[in-house]
Amino acid sequence: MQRALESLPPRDDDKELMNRLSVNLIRGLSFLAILVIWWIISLFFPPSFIPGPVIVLKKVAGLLVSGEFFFHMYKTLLRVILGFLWAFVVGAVMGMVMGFNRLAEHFFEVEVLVGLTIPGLAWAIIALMWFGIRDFSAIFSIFIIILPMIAVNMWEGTKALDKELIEMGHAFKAGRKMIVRHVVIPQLVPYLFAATRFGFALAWKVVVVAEMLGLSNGVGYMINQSFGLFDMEGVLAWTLSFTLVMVLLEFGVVKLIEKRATKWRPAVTLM
Amino acid sequence: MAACCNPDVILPGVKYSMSFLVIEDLHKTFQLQNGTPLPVLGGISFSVEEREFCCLLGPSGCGKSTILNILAGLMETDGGTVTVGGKSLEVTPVRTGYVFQKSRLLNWRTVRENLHFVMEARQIPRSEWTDRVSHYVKLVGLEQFVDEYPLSLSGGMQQRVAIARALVIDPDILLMDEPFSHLDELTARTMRQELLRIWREDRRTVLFVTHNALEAVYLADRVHLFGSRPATIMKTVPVDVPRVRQIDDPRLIALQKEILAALGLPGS
Repeated sequence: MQRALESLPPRDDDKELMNRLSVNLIRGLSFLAILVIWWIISLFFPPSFIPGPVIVLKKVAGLLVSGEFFFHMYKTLLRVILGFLWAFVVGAVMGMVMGFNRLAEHFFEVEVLVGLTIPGLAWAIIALMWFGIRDFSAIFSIFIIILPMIAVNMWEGTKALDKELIEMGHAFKAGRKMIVRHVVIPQLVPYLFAATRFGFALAWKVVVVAEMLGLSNGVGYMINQSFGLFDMEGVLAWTLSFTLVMVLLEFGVVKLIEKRATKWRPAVTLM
Repeated sequence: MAACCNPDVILPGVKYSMSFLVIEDLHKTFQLQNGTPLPVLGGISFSVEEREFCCLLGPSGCGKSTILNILAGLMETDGGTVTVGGKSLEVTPVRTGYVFQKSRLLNWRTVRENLHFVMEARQIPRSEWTDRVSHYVKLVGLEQFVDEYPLSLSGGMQQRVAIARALVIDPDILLMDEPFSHLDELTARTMRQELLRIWREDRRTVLFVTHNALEAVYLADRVHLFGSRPATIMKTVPVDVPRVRQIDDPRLIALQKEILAALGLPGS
């Protein structure tokens, strides 16, 4: 038997570990660089205009200790997660229907493209006028704004499905259920993750706007309150802590799940 | 070694009950986007013996793959009959293993899980899965790679997996659609040798589609030549060269020339 022409590249776990360490090192350095630049700039301005990182971090610590942070973060997170889940389910189904059915594609194309261009601020105002000062206004704003984006991603994913692979399933007499589960859905997974990532990024921005405009709690409300007092420390402390939570969610949850779901992809080695 | 078989052209309307697969007067017409009918098969008749290695050879787009798709139940015929083991295909679908041009593996499943997929589809009892996987993975020479994901394997190895996947369901007939045309020539040569070794051990009925005349005569017991659209069988060429064959055997080269001449393509 000949194997000479078909050898595998050698696996090098040590090298992989080194790579991962150096990647994390670069990420850490990048974060540190932001802090340093911020600190340098803050030296030239009064603290009421640009407070340095130390003052702001102290303020963050204060918010954590008082428990204020957890209450408002909880309210904001709840709105984001509910709005996102709702949009995700509806948008994924809508996108897949658009991918599979020509009529639905032409019908929803207009809605989706118009929906993508309507400013988030407008939706937040409309929702507040319709539903009043309630959690639901924020949830609805998030839903309606990220819905078209999730639909577009899933629409694309469905259109990009490998028809030959589905034909393979038919050739081996796999039933509809098996083909959906083992052939179709795995191909949509990368698109589901892209939709999740973009959806969340947008949801954070929308929720803050909705909370600023008309709700009585949440991170956006607190940022707005600090703005009312012209308290730059407060604005930055809320923004920073909020951003940290988002980054943790992105790296700690979404990325991890994605890595598990796509472990079959060979690692790309950067030269 | 190669028990050669009656190479005569099958006459329409005459029952040749001894042949394993008999295709008679098969017609197929496709519809183009603008509605124009495109006749692809214009009355194809040929036979394949049990355990025979049979090649279908012809120019691209002449409908060779259409025959495989009809046998695999992916397409309907527009006329003509297909019988397997004396039974009509419409009544008793034949159990086919299909090897495509590209490997068409599920990249998110390991080699083992790819074989599980088709066994589950074919409702093979789970108790047999382990034995079948180890047997066929060993047969194609990939026992070390059974828990790897396809994308970490080379193109040739992926096609080996595709062959194992087609065989693991224990098909009545193995359908192969230009399975080596996407490989580089050196790998393709190795794979042809390997396929013949596998076939000698497995003794399966094989219907192999190719547009490569030398590949056809190297592999096959008999080669059925397709004309251009709408295709009929122009000629059937028996390859009476004993195995193991050498690719540069003068008898094979002579047969290749004969085939190219029959197809109206004088050798360069």
